Amino acid sequence: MKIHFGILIYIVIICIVLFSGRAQADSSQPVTRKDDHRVARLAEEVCKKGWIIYAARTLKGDWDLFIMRPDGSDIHNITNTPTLNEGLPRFSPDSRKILYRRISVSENFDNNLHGMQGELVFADSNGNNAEVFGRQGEYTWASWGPEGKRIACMSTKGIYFVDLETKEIIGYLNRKGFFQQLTWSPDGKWLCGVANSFGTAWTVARIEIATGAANAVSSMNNCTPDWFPDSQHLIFSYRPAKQENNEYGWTQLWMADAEGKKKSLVYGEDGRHIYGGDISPDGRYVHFTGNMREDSDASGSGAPMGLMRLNDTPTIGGESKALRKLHGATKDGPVLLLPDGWEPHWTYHELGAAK
Amino acid sequence: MTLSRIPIERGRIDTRCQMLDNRQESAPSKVVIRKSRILDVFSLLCALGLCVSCSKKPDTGIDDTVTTLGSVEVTAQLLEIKGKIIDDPLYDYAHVMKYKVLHVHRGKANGDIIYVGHYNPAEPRSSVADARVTQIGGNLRKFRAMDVHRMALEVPIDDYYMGGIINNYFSQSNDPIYWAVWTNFVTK
Repeated sequence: MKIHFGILIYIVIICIVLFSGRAQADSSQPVTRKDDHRVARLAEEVCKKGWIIYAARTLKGDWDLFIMRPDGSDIHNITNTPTLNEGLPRFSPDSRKILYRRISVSENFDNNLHGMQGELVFADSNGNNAEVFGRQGEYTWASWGPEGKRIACMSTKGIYFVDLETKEIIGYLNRKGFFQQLTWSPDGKWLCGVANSFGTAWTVARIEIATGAANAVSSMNNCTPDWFPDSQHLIFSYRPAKQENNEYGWTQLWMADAEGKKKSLVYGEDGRHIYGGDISPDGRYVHFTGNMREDSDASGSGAPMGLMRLNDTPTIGGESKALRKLHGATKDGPVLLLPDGWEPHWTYHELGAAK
Repeated sequence: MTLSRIPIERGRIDTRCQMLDNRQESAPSKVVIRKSRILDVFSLLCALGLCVSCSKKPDTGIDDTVTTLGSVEVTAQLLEIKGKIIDDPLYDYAHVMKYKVLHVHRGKANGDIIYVGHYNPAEPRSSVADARVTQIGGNLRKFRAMDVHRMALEVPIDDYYMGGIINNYFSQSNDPIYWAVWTNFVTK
């Protein structure tokens, strides 16, 4: 019995070591610490600036939608659906509603197909009154229009605009090689997305809705574009080629003017892939996810989210020797570490009480 | 990983050196003679295999699928694969390749030279279909320049495929890009 007990203890120790190692590998935190006084000041600065909505895994393992204060406090699960996975939440322009996609809990979100998976759902911004809009696989890559009464969607046949009250398609546009992550600009004049029509796959581009004219904003290995409030700039992820000591490269957060004339680094960290960049409603802050494993925000459990001031760009996290060689003058401002999540979105509005 | 490889390779080299040393020092044994016979038989089998493969019957690539899917069907020679075929399980994409049309079986080809997008070209055609792209396939296992393929095609690619495209002819040609639905290997 003594021998058996010894073996049992040994197995338990091995399990603890293995599992603690795995947890560390999956979501170990960025170098920036919350006890940094600059980070504490940033947290205090943003804590009452509305809410951030994001998808995250629950302890049961399914994806639900959560809201939290921008400093990471006051977290609420607003869907609580153990049999369903929800993701890609976006506040309407007036923040009264949200749209998101949901799939069965037996399915997994795919990092490149998520906008086409499952059903499109509309709900109150606190998660109440969820209503499925259309069938499975319909209204793909849906994005709010500027007044919240229409959505833009994209399928193989093109981009189309849907009136939410009548569900009628009220306009079409050639998609010009756009194939994922369609987002309507706040001023209603443009769409941005990822396109394959500019010589390289994964080019962030925009289309003028009035003319259908498209232009590349940043070519080669870009994705998850989103608009600045001025509708004249984009935030997006970009993985530059030929990175030192890393053939594949780390994905960084960049911004550019929407004409594609000038782009610049916002945040990068050797050792993390930065995705899901989203600008605060006043254009002063940006938040994002930083995953140590490529392409595993959706397939894994999201990634630690970070929030920083845009005045502090460019900021490089961690040691990042190779990246620092390329970007000499960085501000290295504080980055507020937030919980693990996927595709966050920020509103400054207050939300109604959750169910 | 690298550290663990080095001793193995060194081990191999050492063993080989020992074998050479032994051969130089001792007379041929029965074991060596038996090995040389085995080698002879193996060589004979290889030669036979080569003859069989050389005498393989011509295959036009025709089958029930290539003749029915798509709106265009051609036999064409793959002139070049511009750029590296990327084998990345994280990303799906179509790679545009340049073909010389040898014969149009159905529909209409846009000139002698056409540009065809193949989905995830690192995969054999028989297993390339997935959740995003369901109705594609063929018997071609590997893309090699100068090989001849019989293909069922659609055009333009954007009407049939919504995903990443690597098109290294982007700045050279404004011709429509065809979408490869079915790709069979052709032997002359």
